Formats: sequence, C-alpha cells, structure tokens
Amino acid sequence: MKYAFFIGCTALARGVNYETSARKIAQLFNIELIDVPSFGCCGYPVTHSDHLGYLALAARNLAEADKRGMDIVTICNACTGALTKARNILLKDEKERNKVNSILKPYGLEFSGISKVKHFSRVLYEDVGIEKLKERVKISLEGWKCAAHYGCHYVKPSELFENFDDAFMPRTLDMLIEVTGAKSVEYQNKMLCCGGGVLAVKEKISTTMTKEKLDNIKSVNADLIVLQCPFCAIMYDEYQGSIGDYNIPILYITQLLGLSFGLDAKKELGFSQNAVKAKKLMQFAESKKEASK
Amino acid sequence: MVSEFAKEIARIKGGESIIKCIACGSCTCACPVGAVDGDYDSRKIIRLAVLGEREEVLNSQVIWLCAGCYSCQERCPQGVEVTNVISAIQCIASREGKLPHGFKLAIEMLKKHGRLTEVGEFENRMRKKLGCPEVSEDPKVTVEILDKAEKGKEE
Repeated sequence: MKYAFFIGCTALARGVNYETSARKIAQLFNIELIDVPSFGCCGYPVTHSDHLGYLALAARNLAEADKRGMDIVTICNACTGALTKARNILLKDEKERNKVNSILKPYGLEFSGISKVKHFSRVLYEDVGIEKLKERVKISLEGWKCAAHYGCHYVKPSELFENFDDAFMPRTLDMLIEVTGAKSVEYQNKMLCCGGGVLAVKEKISTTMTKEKLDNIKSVNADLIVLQCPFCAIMYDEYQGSIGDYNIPILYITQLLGLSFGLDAKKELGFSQNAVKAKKLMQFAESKKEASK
Repeated sequence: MVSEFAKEIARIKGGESIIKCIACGSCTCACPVGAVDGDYDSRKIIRLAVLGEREEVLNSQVIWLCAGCYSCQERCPQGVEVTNVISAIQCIASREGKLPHGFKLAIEMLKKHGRLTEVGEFENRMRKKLGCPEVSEDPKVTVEILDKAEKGKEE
C-alpha cells in the first residue's frame, strides 16, 4: 500500500505527535507514506473568501498526486474535506476544471481526478481492517474509558465520503479505539463540532462549544478523549486549561493504537507534545510492559 | 420569483441550491453555533438572500459565524447545500472588502509562509526529534495561484 502523505499545515507544526505516531503505525502495517515536498495548503483557509482560489490550491495537491499515480492520505479532517470536495467539484464541472488547470499549467500540473483522498483513520479501518489491527495489540488497555471525538469533516457532508461511515452515528473511530481493549463510552451530543472553524471570528462561540463537549465528556467520567484532527486537538488540548479545570488527556487515535501496539509513548508517539499530560496512561502501559518481560 | 441576489449566489459553485430552500428551519435547528449565539440563524440569512436583501445580508456580521460543520447541510430535507451557500455569500461579501480581520490574518500567513503555520528552526528541531523530515517554506506558488485566481474571477 502506497499513499502520498498530505500532512497539512496544522499537524506539521502543532501536531507533530500526530504525524509521528501515524508514521509509526503505517510502518507496522506496511503502508508506505510518501512525502511530497511540493504539497501546499489544502485550500480550506480561503473557502470564505475566494472560491476559485480554494479550488486551485486544492487542485494543485490533487494534481501532484495524480502525477505520481498515488492516492492521498490525510491526517487532518479539514484537509480531508477540502481536498475531497474540490475533487468532486472538479470531476463534475468542466468549466471550473478548465479554469483551474489553466492556473496550474505553468507548474506542469493538471488535475485529472485519478487520485482519491482518504483520511488515515479510514485507511486503517478499510485497508488494514479491525481484525488485523487487533492481532498487533501487545498491551491491552482494558479498563480505560475513552470518549471518541470524530470531528466534522471526517464524515460530513456525507455525499463526499461514499457512506464509509454514518454522518449522524459514525462507528469507525469507536471501533478503532476498541481495538486496544479500551471502551469507547457514549456521551451527550457526541457529534458536536469543536468550534475551531469560528475561532478566528468569535473566540467566545468556539470555546463555548468546546466547553460543552468537555462538560458532557466529564459527566460520563471518561479517562481520555480520542480524536483524529489536529485542529480539534488545538481546541480540546491547547485550550482546555483556559476553559476550565478538566485535566482530561487528549490523544490522537494513532497515539492510543501505538501505545497498545507496544510503541514507546515519548520517543515514538510524541506524548510529550500533548498539552494535557497522559501520565497515568503512560505509567499503566509501562507497568504492563514490565510485567510481560 | 428568484431575486437577483439569489441568482448571484447561485453563480458561485456550491451556491446553486439556494433556490430550493423552503425556509423550513431544519438548518437552524441543527446548528451548534446558533445554539450558542442566537444571532446566527442560517434560515434567516438564506431567506433574506432569496428575498433579495443584498446589502442587509452582506453587511451583517453574523454571516461570518458559520463554523463550517455541515450539520445544517446534512439535515436539509430539500438538498440545499446550506454550508456551501453560506460560503458563497461570504465569498461575495469578501469581494466587497468585508472579510473579517481574523480571516484576513490567516490569508496573510498563507501568503507569507505558504501555510497557515510558520515552520522555522524550532519546529524543525521538534520534527527531527520525533523522526519527521524537516520541511521548508516556499510560499511562491501559493501566492501566484491565489493571484491568478483573483484575476481569473473577473474573466
């Protein structure tokens, strides 16, 4: 399995823990992640201001992947949504496609739509499969209660994602969590958005949305929140301390899986980068490792 | 009767479905931003647009409060791409110089660094420590693409 690895701006600088843990998991399952230095912005930041600019920025990346004959794998929900939406529009609309391709021509690029876009979690679920993942577990996280946060652009709008999961009651992230032996707990308003999309305009709205989810999760006594988007992580991890006294560690699904596969929390999975420290979980994994020696 | 403003919105990709709106309010009910700040009401924005209240819509601060979560679009019984319609309205407002400061800053970052984030020595040290390849900044192509798109719109 070979994918062009689209890391995205946020993960690249602020979610290196996510990127590195995704790379390690990929290695374990022979998923080859190809770095493409000429990948640029996914286009999402200009969706509010410049529709053609958005399509062209997204198409640049799609065309880079087309040129290599590889599908794209993403680790950010916003990038997943922006690239998939642009691909769908450009496949259907010849006029927009021609406009975009004339912008890209000087760079030797042309959007053809050969390459598809998939989120890394979806690749784990669809290409590797839950059973194969389970076979790799060395440290069972039984007894740990996790709250799954999907993030909007993983499944919505549903017409973009071929119904690989349900837009209102998705299950794939819960299943990935439960690979480790941990329990994925239900909580109120599970599909609530992190609020990150409106952060640049009205911070209070964002943090109120973030707080609501943290409160709902706290009320079911979850030990951890597990997510798969670096922007959601900014809201729940980086902002958590300023929103209230929660002390709920926020892990990327790749960090949780990696830990149960026996990888080193700090050296291989970047646990030091998480703002809310998952000390108890790291100690738990260490003691299990010691006991099995 | 479809207003001129609704037609203008429909000319932007994603905005076409505005004409199918029956103002049922499913979008507003599904909206997590509206639940926090009642001023944001997607049904009202779309209704005003359909009625042709161009200036009222474009000058309104609330059109910028959409979090882009697609909850409304997913719920719409008419197949209105609500989130995409709001984005199309934002694009028109932006063309008239009304883009909020926060979004302008994001575009400045994008043009300066080629990304939404700065990746300098500090970030690269951290990347290297965690076994990720170093990355460099090359905003040239991004800037050129955005400039060409700006010009292409007028054609």
